Amino acid sequence: MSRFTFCTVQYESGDWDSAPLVAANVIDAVARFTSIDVAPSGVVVPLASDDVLRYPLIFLTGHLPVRFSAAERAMLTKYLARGGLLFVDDHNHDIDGPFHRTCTEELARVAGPLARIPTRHALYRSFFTFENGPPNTSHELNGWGDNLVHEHLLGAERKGRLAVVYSNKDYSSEWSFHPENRKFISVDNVRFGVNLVVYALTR
Amino acid sequence: MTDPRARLERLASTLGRARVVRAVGVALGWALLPLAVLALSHVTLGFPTYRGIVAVAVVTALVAIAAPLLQGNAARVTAIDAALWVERREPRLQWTLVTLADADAVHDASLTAYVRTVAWDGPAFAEARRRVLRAAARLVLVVAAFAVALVPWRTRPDAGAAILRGTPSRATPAGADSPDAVSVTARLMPPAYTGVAARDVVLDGGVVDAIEGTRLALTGASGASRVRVTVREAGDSAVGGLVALDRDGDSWRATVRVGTRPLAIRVADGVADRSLTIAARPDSVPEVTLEAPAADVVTRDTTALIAIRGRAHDDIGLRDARIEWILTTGGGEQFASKVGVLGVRSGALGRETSVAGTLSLATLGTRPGDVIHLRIVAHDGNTVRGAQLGTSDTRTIRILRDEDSVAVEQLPPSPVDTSVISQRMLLVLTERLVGAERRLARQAVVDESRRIGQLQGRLRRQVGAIVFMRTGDNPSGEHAHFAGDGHDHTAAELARTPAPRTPASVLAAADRATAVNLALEDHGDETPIVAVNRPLLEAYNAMWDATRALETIEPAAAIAPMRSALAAIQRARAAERLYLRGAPPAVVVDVARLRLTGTDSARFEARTPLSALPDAGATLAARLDRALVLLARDADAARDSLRLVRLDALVARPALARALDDALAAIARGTDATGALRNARRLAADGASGVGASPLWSGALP
Repeated sequence: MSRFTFCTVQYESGDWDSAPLVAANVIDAVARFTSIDVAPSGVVVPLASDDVLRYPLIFLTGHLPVRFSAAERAMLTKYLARGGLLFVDDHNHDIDGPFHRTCTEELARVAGPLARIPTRHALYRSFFTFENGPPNTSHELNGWGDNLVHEHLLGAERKGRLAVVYSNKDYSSEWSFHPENRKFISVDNVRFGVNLVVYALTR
Repeated sequence: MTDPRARLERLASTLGRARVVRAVGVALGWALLPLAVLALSHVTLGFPTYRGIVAVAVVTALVAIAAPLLQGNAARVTAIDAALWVERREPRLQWTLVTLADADAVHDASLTAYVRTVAWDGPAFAEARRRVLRAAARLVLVVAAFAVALVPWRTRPDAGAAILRGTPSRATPAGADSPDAVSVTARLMPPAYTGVAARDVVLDGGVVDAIEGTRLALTGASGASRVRVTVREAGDSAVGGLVALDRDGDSWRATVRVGTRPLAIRVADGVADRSLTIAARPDSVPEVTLEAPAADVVTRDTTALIAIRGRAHDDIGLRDARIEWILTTGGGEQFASKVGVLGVRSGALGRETSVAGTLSLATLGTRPGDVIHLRIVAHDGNTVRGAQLGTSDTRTIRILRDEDSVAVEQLPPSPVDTSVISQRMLLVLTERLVGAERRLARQAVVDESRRIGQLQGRLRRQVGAIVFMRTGDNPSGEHAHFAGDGHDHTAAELARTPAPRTPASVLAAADRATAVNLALEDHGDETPIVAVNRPLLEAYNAMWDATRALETIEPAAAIAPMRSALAAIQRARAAERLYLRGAPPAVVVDVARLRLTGTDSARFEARTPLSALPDAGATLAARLDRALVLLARDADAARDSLRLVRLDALVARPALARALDDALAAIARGTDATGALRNARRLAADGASGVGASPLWSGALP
């Protein structure tokens, strides 16, 4: 089995590279807590490229509206049909913002309507146990943006497993720090990224 | 009298024949009993099939014949048996005949003399022949009973087979059945929004197309108590669901709604089955094309007017179409957005409509850093599943900030598209000229070749303008040479070329044009500018070769470089879009140092391995194989199986379904279906081997 490589997908319409340090943080956490053979740096792959089919987990984020091109839509459909897991995080922290509205519309066209992922879902137990569902971010706890704690992630399943995980919790901001600064963090919720990786690799 | 022993042997033979004929008659008589029960079941319940009844009757008869033989009851009649049979009828023989027949007994000449004094053989032979005749007569009666039970179905040509095939016979088509068959009318009624009129269809085992939401109305004026309508959807493992009948006296009505999957409908009335396959066709989502702007736009001009133009097409009809824009302003973590529409068109727009509008950046109040997303959306008039939304590709208009370090002011200019059309046109003209060269006068060839050459030269200059405008070089260069380009350059040509270009010089020119050392993304070592320019430069050079060949009246030699030019322009059109934000910073994690240094402990649940998903293609191929094997034994049952395979292939494997259509049509015509079946088998096998072959997840790039 080849090593796991964190993949950020590049789409044409928005700011796909708005959280450049998420990859490093997730890789750091995977190395720190698991024996998974992980590549030391992530890759960036155009969503319309066949290359996305080489990665079990792909990450998509941004602030701006998301409008997939026909090629991106087709490739994402193919990727999900082949068992890949797409993790989307809204880099904004708002309600019904442009990213949320456009991205969920696009995802619904590709993967079907998104539904709440229950807090007892296997995703929250695939490695670390998160009893209350997705870990909160400091943005939520500090009352920034919409002054709201999002209790659930959204998702779409294919054949009994999650194919799309969609977050409004702004992990893109929360996890976008240099890994060397991890020692200053009291609650390390990048551990949830480990769950995502383990879920993608084992389910 | 001849030798009594020889007479006894002949008598034994005659008696043996009588016993065999009688045994056959009795066996067939017993076989009639289950046959009658099965025939009654077939008439009332439609089960079993005709051929099944025949098979059961034959097997029962064979068993009935074999059973007495195996028990020894019908063993060969010996001379002793015959002698005993005679002795019971002629007491005067005093067991002398039995003694004479017994080879182990001591024979005396007086025995033979005594037997000859008694006239036994005449009556005995007469009685034996009567026995044979009686047994034969009984056998004829039993066979006649079989004929009465089985022949009526055979006397109606194909009717029995139709029961097996699930189709009405050719001799008794639907609606004009034999007196026993129920007359059925089938009518397809498309949804009202399609504007398509209802039409009658024949339940002849064929395939008809119907759009999703269509209703199939089946009506009959009689037979309400015995008609059964079943529906099977493609992919269902069940035999088929029973459709509820709306009965009114002896007349009946059933309605079947067409969904998204093909349906097989059967109507059975105990006499004949009819079937029809409906290939459900979903209403297509509108196809929307944004023609202008043809590419994303990057501008510093906050007062620009953006012309937007596009088209929408739907297979049935459009309800509305409009341009939709989202303006996003802000930066960092603070973004705001506005949404608006332009050029709204609504009403009965027909199948095709165009949309146009102009977006004024000044009116929107755009500022540097703003981003506008544009697209055209259109709804169709689908009332079955609701209006369906079709969208065009999205164009992004970015308003540059002063600090944005991007020297690219625009994307590859649209004249490239024109070049494609023109280059293709010139190629076609040249190919025609080459084809007609022998028939034309020499002067006509010369004129036409030079004319195409001039057009080619003009087009080449246009491409050169695009290339060198973007690399910042002089477009007046007659030909761009570089080492290894395969051209046979003369010294004079090289002398006319002031600065022969190499790939390195072109890259350098591109970098100069962009003013930054762009490493926008991981696309090898090429910047997007060069990714577009390289093929354009190839096209530029190939056009030079083509022009030279045409001007020297060698049009055949021009075709190859013209094709190369066309292919190069196509590659330029497909070059990656520009990404203005550059590559994210690369952070390399020291995995070895960090490995398992985390202090938080995990407690995860045990996982069970997932089973492999069934391969739909392989399943279809296996079913087809079974049907083909069945074809040799039971053609009608095989035809039924082929129809079901075709039903399931309609969605997943349309090519296979078409091949099976051909095969079934050939079988129905009574012609050789081997070729069509072989084709279907090949298609099924291809699908089985290629489906589901996902690559292993592999994060490591080779």
